Parts: sequence; structure tokens; C-alpha cells
Amino acid sequence: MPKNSFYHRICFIISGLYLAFTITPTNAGDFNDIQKAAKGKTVYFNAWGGDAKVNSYIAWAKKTLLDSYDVTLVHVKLTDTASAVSRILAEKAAGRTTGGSIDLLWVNGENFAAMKHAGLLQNQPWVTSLPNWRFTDSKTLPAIVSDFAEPTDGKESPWGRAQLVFSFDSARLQTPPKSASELANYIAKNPGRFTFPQPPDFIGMSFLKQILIELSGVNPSLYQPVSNADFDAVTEPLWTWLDAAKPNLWRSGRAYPANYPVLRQLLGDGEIDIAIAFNPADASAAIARGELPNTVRTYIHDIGTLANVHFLAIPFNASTPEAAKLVANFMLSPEAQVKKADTTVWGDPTVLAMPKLSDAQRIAFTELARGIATLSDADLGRTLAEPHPSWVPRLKAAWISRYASGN
Amino acid sequence: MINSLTTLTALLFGLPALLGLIGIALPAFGYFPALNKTSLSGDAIRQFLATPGLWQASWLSLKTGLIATGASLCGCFVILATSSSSSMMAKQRRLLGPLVAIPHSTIAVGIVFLLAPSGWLMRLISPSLTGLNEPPIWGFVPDTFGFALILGLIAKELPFLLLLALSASATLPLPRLLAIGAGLGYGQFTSWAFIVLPIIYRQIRLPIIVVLVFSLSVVDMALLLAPSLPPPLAVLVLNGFHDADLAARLPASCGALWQIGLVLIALLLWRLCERLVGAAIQFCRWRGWRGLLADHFLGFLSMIAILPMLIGVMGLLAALIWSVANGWFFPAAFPASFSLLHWQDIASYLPLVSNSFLLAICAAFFSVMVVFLWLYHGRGQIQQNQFLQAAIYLPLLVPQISFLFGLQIGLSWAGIDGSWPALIYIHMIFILPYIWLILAPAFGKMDRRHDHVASSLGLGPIRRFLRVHLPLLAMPISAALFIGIAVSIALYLPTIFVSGGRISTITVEAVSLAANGSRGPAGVATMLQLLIPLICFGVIWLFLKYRFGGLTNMQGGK
Repeated sequence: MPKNSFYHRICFIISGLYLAFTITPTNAGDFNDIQKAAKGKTVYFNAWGGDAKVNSYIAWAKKTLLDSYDVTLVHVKLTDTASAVSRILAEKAAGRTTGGSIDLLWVNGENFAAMKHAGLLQNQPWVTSLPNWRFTDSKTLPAIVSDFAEPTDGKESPWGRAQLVFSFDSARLQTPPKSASELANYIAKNPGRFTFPQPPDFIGMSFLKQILIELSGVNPSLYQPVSNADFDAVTEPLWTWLDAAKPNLWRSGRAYPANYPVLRQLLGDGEIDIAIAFNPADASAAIARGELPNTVRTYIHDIGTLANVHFLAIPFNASTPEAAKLVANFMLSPEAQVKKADTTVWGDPTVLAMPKLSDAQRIAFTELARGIATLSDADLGRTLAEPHPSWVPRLKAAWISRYASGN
Repeated sequence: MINSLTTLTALLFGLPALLGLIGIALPAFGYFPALNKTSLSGDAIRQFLATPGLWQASWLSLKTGLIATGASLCGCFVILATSSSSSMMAKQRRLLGPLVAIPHSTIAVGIVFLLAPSGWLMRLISPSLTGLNEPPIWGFVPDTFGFALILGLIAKELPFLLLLALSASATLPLPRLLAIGAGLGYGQFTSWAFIVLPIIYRQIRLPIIVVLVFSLSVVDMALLLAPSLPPPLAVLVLNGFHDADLAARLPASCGALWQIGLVLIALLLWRLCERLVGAAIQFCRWRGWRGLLADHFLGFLSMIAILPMLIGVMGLLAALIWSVANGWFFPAAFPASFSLLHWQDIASYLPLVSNSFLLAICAAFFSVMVVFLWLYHGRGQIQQNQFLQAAIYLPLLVPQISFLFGLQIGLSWAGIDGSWPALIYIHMIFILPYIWLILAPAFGKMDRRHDHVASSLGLGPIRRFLRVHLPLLAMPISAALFIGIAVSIALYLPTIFVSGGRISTITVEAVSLAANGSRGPAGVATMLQLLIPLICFGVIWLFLKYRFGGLTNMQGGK
């Protein structure tokens, strides 16, 4: 087919051009070259698009990037990050090593681990050479270089922090249950009023991990590869807990909401009493948009809740890797991070280290309004680290084989 | 030369589905070089067979698909049999146009919002009638049987079948057929059931099969309405393709093939039902059953048949209210206050609307052009050659989930995925069968005497086409364009797989918003999405009325 070879030829020319551009700047470590190479380029940013707040933040970034750097950011809204991983894989299967359809991907945890092991990421580390990397501190926040205990190897740039928080309507519920066992009692006493997003949904899996960590007394083997542990013995308390809870879950545990925005909607509809989110400011923002009553408040469990970092990664075959790096650097800038932490925009906590910022930059962060339902930093202080990523597929498979046939 | 052009183009539009199937079959048998799997093995099949809930999922798909298709068809026929006059039918057609264009996801969202324990119906009667200040804990949507999904499918497919059946009945000498029925002493119901409907059924059999295949493998509706433990087979397969564990694609490919097997089983069962119903009709005719009593129930039955469509309309209304609602909590029957907050983002949706618009118009126009090429150069050839027919209909007869992943690899290999031409091309393969289905019979029935007159007046073929054929075919062409546009607007899975996310449409946005529980923004997106077919419908209708108003009656030599 003549068309085919025409496209291939163009791909070769483009890839040649990129090679010419890519090799020099990373080696020289000079960000100006990256800026030059990125000028006028379009970056296809694949990011979960299920939350209006996140989307409006990315829309802001798009405008700023276009004005300041002449880079066009296109937000490709995913319903599921794994579908983007799937597309990169399809491109690898088709032998397309350059000119890929994804330039930048919002990712963490098992998706990152899967991409790393399948060789779907940029070959060379690039993150520490970003100018704004100097505002971070991996000593105080080790999670920025270790994604669910998987070393990032400089192949994904930290974007924001997340922590599991529970929300409840204080008009209907006075004292929310603050541990796995209290929650079990609550579910038994209030049938049909609690549920969680259906695994393998990200938040659903996080909820399982939270309960497992609590019930196992923070078992150290959870932080080792799962192959070194007795999976059945370690996870036994979780299944007992779930089996007991199931008949008293929403819809008697025969159906689960698909994801956390749907879960939040159920709280707004009054069908359930407690919802879960991976963002401390989620409830406040939902109140501001009229999606939750203004009597909703948040809490975390006494032992602490799961916390992690989410990242931006560049696929191995990105069409405009230089422009993608520029975007990642911009997203790491104090300017972009303040905007992101603003509850009225997104409310996603920053990955920057406050001591490394200038006074003015620090003040911008401390002056942010927290939102009516958002906990203080002190209240959010107790965190639990993510288990080793190898636990996720095993937990997922075990949950599915136990509950997915619907009996 | 000319004939091979027809063959070539027909094959060109069957090719993607075929390539996609190959791209699925290879990993199903263990061949997937991207994961360093280059030898054939049965591992993937064994893994697939061990999928928890596989058989329940398959049974759920089979059950909901067959019931939804059967019920849609019955409802469609009941409504047809109730409509007494051709002017009433013309009115119905005009009403159905916009209804057919309501996207699946909108109907699904509408059903959830209407029938959930915290839904609109409960809100309307709470707490006044129920005394409830909190929604009850029993729930209907989604139910384990799949009833909500069936309801959603009927709400979408019944108007579609009805529109096609009305088009088919427009070509029949209805008054004469019904007069024959009356002469035989049949009632209204039996005249239709024994004389007219069998003819119409034969004419719309293919679209019915298409509806069956689609219902068996629907994804966007199933995500919202079907049970999820386990989900219907197509969702189970899609989950496999979207699994973070990349090796899950191999058993998922087996699932995609099994989905085809399920379709074949359903087709066999459908064929069996056809035989049974045919035999039953024969038996009743032979026994001389006049069925006058049945006429009394006809009105009642047609009311029931209209219910699912009403739900579709209610769903739209709910979407409109949500788009301007500011805080709407149980048990309030209406939002506490209104705001245009969600509509302020309208600028960010406009590029998506224009993408949808451009895509639909291009795909529909090009498809009509291709069909005309076939009609003028190889009509007999396509109609006689089952292989070519199969090539045209293949994309609708193979479940989308069964070839899209393979197609994605193929397009990526050719380096054209995510490009406008590729997207228009793939939309065309889904539109062409419908346009062929509408235009081919109309072209065949075109009154050739006008042609002879024009020819004797010295008009050449091109001028005859422009000044005689086009006006004569104005009605079917506009119907074809409208169906083409409506089908293109509604395409969800093919758009996300082929565009690679690079070209997004308002439909993709609306589904994604709805699936993520953002009722307000989803309401805005839905309204915008509906706008496109409505505008097209209006423009086509006005054009017909003022340009060809006097000519459409010449069809059929009346």
C-alpha cells in the first residue's frame, strides 16, 4: 500500500528529527533546549477524566502552557488509565516505536509497575533533570521516588499527593466509625447503608488494602513482594471481614458502584451514609458544586489511612517527548502546584517540600482556603504506606474469584 | 473494470472487521509478540475458561439480548398494528426521528435516575405518600436479572425498529392488504399479524439481527444498567482489555471470540423462534382464527409498548433538569435552586460538538456517495453475491468488542490511527449497511418511466441523475442521511478505539461523564449531543419541504 509506506516514511523522518533533538538536551541537562524543541508542539495528555475538578484544572494548565510556552496540551479524557496502557501496548505490538498516540500519562501504582516491566516507558531517566525537581525533597517524602514501593527510576514525575478519606453527612450520622472493626459494627447495625467501589476499581482496591492493613496490624510482609508471603494467611482477616459485611452492604453486596464519583453521588442521594475518596478536598469541592449537602464532613481512621503519590509518565514511543517533559516540569512548578492545591480548583495536595520554596511561594500555599469539609494537615497527619504493588493483582484476583460470580 | 470497482469498495468496507478479527484470533491462541509470546498455545483459552463468573456472564448476555430484541420487535408490531392511517404513520415517523437519535448512555442514565430507590419516581411520592425521608434500602437498578438493561435496550431499539418498519410499510399497498384481511373476516390485529407483519418482518429482518447482535454485546448501557457481579460478557471482555496486567489481553481475546460464539447461539435460537412463530401463525390461519377479541387489547398493549419510549423521554427531561440543578437531594421532587454553573463550561464542549458534527456529516455523505456508486455500477452484482453482501454487513453482524482491539493494532500498524480519515472510514463501515438497506430498495422501486421521458427529451445520464433521480429519491436519501448521522453520533466504542483519544466526540464525553456520576455536566453534554441530530433533522426536513415538496408524491407511480 503506497499510503502505508508514505506514513512510515514520515514517521522515520519525524523520529530522526526527534533523535536529533532528544539526545543533546538530556545529556547536556540544559532545559532551554527542551523549551526550544517543545515550542509549537502538541502534547496529548492522557488522564482520567471522570472528575470535573481535575478537568478544569487541566484546562487551566492548558491555557497557561499555551500562553507561556507555546505548547498545546490536549487532555485525552480516560475512563480508565489501564485503557491507555492497553493502547501503548497495541502500538508496541504494531511495531510503532515513535510517533505514538500518547505523550504524557497520569499514572501510578500497578499501572506504572506494569508499564515499567513491559518496557512501555521512556528508556532514559528524565525526571531529576527537570529544573523544578529542586523544589522536591525525596528524603521527607520518599513516595516521590518510590511508587507503591516500586522504584520510579526517574521515569515518572511526581504530580500530587493523595490520601484516603471518608465522608459522611453530619446531619444524619453523628459519630462515624473510625476503624475497620467499628466500621464492621456500623455495617451490621445499619444494613444497606455502606458500600465501596467495585474492585478492581482503584479506590475499591485501596479500600481493601486499607482494611487489610488495619486488620493485619500493619503486617510487614505487605511491604515485601507478595511471592515472599503466605498470601492466604495474611489476607484471611480481610475475607472474614468482607464475608460478614457483605449481606449488610448496599444492595446486599450484589451490586457495587463503579467508581468513587458514583459512590459520592450515592452519598448525595442519601442511599448510603459513608463515602470514600482519595482526595482530602473532594467533599468540599462537591459541596461547592451542589453535589453534596453542606452538612457533609470528612474523617480518617484512627490508625491512619493509605497515602500515595500520583505521577506523570512519558511512554517509550511518545511523539513529542521534549514537550511532554516541559509539561511535567510545569506541573511541578510552585505556580501550578498552588493552583492544584486550591480547593476551589482541585484541592490536590502538593508534592513540593515547603522548606525548599521561597517565602512568597510558601505563603501562597499557607494562605489557601481549606474548604468546609476538609481536615487540617494535623488531622491528616496519620498515614499508612501503600503495600508493595505485587499485592494488588493478587488481591484483585482473590476478590474477583470470591465475589465476582455474584453468589 | 467498473464491476471490480464495486467489488473493491465493498471489500474495502468489510476489511476492517476482518482484520480486527485476525488481530483478536492471534492473541486468543497465544500469539502476541509485544509481550514476547510468539508461539501458539492453549494457555489463554484455559485461563479464559477459568474466569470467575464466565457462564453467568454469558447467560446474562444471551438472556438480556434475546428478551430485549424480542420485546422490542413485539412492541414495534403492536404499535404498527394500532396505527390505522398512513397520515398517522407519517406523524409517527417525524416523532421517531429525534427519538432514535437519543444516545444509549442518556437513556441509561435516565433509567437509573428514574427507578433508583433515591430516584425521581420515589422523590415525587416521598415523603408525602411513602413517609420516607431516606431512600429505602431495597433497590431495583441494577437488578441481578438484567431487567433494567432489557428496559434500556427496548427504550433504544424499539423506536429504531419502528422507524424502519414504518419505512418498509410505506412501500406496501397497505389499504389493499388490510381490505383483503377485512374481506376474510379478520379483525385489525389479525389482519396485521397474518398478512402485513410477515411481509414487513422479511424486509427488516436484517436490522433485527443487527439489533440482536448489538443487544448481546452492548457496553455503554451495560456499564450503567446491568449487574456487575458478574457483568454481561462484553463488559467482562472489555475489563480484560483494560486490565493493568497486560497479559490479561490474551484471555480477553478468547472472550472476544466467545462473544461471537454467543451471537451464533443467539442467532440459532432466534431462527428457532422464527420457525415456531411462523408455524403458530400457519396453525391459526388453518384453524380459521379471526381473533376479533384481540382487537380490544390492542390499545392497552400499545400503551405498554410506548412505556419504554416514555422512559427515554423522561430520562432526557431529567438530564435537562440536572444540567441546571444546584443541589437536588432526596426527597426533594425538584432541585432546591437552579444555576447555570454547569453551562458555563459550554465553551470546552464546543470543539467536541463540532468534531461530532463534522464526523457525522462527512461519514453520512461519503456513505451515500459510495452507495450510489454501487447502485449505478453494481447493484445486481452486490445483490446476487452473498460474499459482497456479507462484506458490507460484517461490521454490524460481528460484535464490536470482538474486532475493535484487533482493528486498533491494524490501524496503528498502518500508522493512521487517531487520524480524521481513519475515523471517518471506520464510522462509514457502521453507516453503510443502513444506507444500503434504505437506498437499494428505493432505487429498485424508482419509477423508470420518468427516466425514459427524460431520456427521450435528450437528457444525458448525469443530468438525468441530477434532475430526475435525485428528486425522485429525495425522501429515501434524506432518510438515509439522517439515519447515517444518528448512527455516527451514537458510536461510542469504535470512536474511542480508533481515535486513540486524539479526536474526541461529545458522545464519548457524555458517556464518560455519565459513567463517572457527574449528572450536571453529563446533562449539559447530553443536551449538546442531542442538538446535532435535531439540527440535521430540521435542516433535512425543511430542505425537503421547500425544495422537493411537490415531487415526493411521484414516488411509486401514484
